[in-house]
Amino acid sequence: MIKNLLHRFALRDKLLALIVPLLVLTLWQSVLSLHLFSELILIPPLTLVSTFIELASSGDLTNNILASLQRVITGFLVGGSLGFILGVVTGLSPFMNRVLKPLIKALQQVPEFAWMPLIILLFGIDELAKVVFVAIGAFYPMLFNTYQGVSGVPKKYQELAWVFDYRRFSYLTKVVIPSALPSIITGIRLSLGLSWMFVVGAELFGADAGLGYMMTWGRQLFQIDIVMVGLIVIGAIGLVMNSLLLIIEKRLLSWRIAFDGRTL
Amino acid sequence: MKHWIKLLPIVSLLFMSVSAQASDKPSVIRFGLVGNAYGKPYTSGPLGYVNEYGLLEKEFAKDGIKIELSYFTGAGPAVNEAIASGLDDFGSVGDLVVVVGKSGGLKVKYILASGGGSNTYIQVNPASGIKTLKDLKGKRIGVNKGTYIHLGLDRILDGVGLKEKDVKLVNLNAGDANNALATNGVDAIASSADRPVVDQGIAKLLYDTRKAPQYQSSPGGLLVSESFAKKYPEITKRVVKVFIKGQYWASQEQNREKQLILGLKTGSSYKNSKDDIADQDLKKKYNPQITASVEKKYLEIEDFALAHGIIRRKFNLDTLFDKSYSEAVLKELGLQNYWEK
Repeated sequence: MIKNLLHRFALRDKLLALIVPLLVLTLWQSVLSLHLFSELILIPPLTLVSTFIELASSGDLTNNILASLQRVITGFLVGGSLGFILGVVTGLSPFMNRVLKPLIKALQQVPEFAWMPLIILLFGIDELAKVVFVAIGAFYPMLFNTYQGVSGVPKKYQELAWVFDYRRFSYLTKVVIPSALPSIITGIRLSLGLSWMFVVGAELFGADAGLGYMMTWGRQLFQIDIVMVGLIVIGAIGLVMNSLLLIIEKRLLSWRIAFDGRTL
Repeated sequence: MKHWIKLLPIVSLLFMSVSAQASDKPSVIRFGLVGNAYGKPYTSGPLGYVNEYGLLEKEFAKDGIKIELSYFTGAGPAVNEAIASGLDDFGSVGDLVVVVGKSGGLKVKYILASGGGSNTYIQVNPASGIKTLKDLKGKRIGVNKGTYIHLGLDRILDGVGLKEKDVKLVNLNAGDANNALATNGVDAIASSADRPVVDQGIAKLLYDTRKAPQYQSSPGGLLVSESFAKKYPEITKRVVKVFIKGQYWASQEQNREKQLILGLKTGSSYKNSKDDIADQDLKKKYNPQITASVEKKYLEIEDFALAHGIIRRKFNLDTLFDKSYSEAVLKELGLQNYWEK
């Protein structure tokens, strides 16, 4: 009985999630039918389907997705690792936190795209510049979430580690990281999500492959359908990425249910 | 109160007549223009003359019609977008932009040929090791995509048996391309006559089309949105008249030096601009007529662009050209035999 109810609610949720996209599609088509926007700018949905098939079958779409993914992974690994290390250092050491926090907070206020001119001057327009741009995006969520997790390790765990006479490394790997894991994983998810958003920005400038490049190309050659397919693909991949990370997060943190009785 | 009701039909009639009158002419005419390579709001050539002396503003001042000139740093492709979204009524653009726009379904008419023979220059970074055009294979080349320079580059590459896919094209506007060339961000760039990085001795000029007319641009054009032309044919004709006056001025050899001086406002180098058109016949360059030769060139561009993946679908060229305005104006000005047919 309860199972049936749960199934029914799950189905209802799924149906509800479909309502908004359907409404958007209806609004989209209505706007076109009323000629509020030119069909050259707001491309009809069916045209987008055929453009998607065209790009996918030619291999262009796959190549550009792979180029973007490569930049995302590299930028995420660089920015995320730096964020993680700094998060652990500032989380463990109140002194380092006092020293670094003002600078980190000040730099965080700089909008991402304001870094672009400096990045181009320092690193040119090559691959390195794009990776640096993505890495900046990945850095902050990783740093703040790691810091939050590490600095929030309960005092009783620290006392327990002291009782077991853990050395610094063991304390870090056996107490701090497992305890901060939920926060760190949230950091990874946010960091990867932002990397994906920033890669498109990085590729709008001086790229020769990638989804951002594909969209610029489409815009320059007045093929707005390519721009819109690019937008949809970026959104879809971002959604898939986030969902996969949520599943991994649930799996990895399933011990918490048994450990303290809380569900995630 | 009753008097007001009696007056209502008269007031309505008056209002309707005013509305009808208002629809005979627009309150503003909006032009999308390609700013110079560095985004300054000036143009050279005939349009530079038209703008410098406010000829459009003078022509329409008596009608109370305002003139809005938008200079796009995004070059011709941005003009296409502005027309498509109804933000501009006219656009003055290069050859490839016309084809790209029309292939994308842009509802415009090409009503005036406006200056061809623009050159493409290939500049290279000495560190790239590029010595010949064939060495461009596999190299990163900066170019403002969708412009006449993009087409010029593809034609040059084609001449040495290379396709766009054999090189890595990086979309950069002129200013960014120069910076990228200077900092090794790209191995080469395709540009107009401006070459500050070469002038400073940082890069080298590999090739240009001054001696290769087959790679020079075809006449760019004045485009008008179909809806504007249909609604205001007389206004469209008057716009064409102003442009033809500019082309008449620019076609005269005695005005060559004045054109170069006007061009200084765009930020372009005097020497490079002078050398760029030194061998060109101005009367041929600024011929405003949509001749059979112009139509043939556009057919060739369309085929080339399709074969090289610049456009994805063909369009009927007959739907592009409308000679009626230029023919009527040339007759009106007594210039029908001034330019070669």
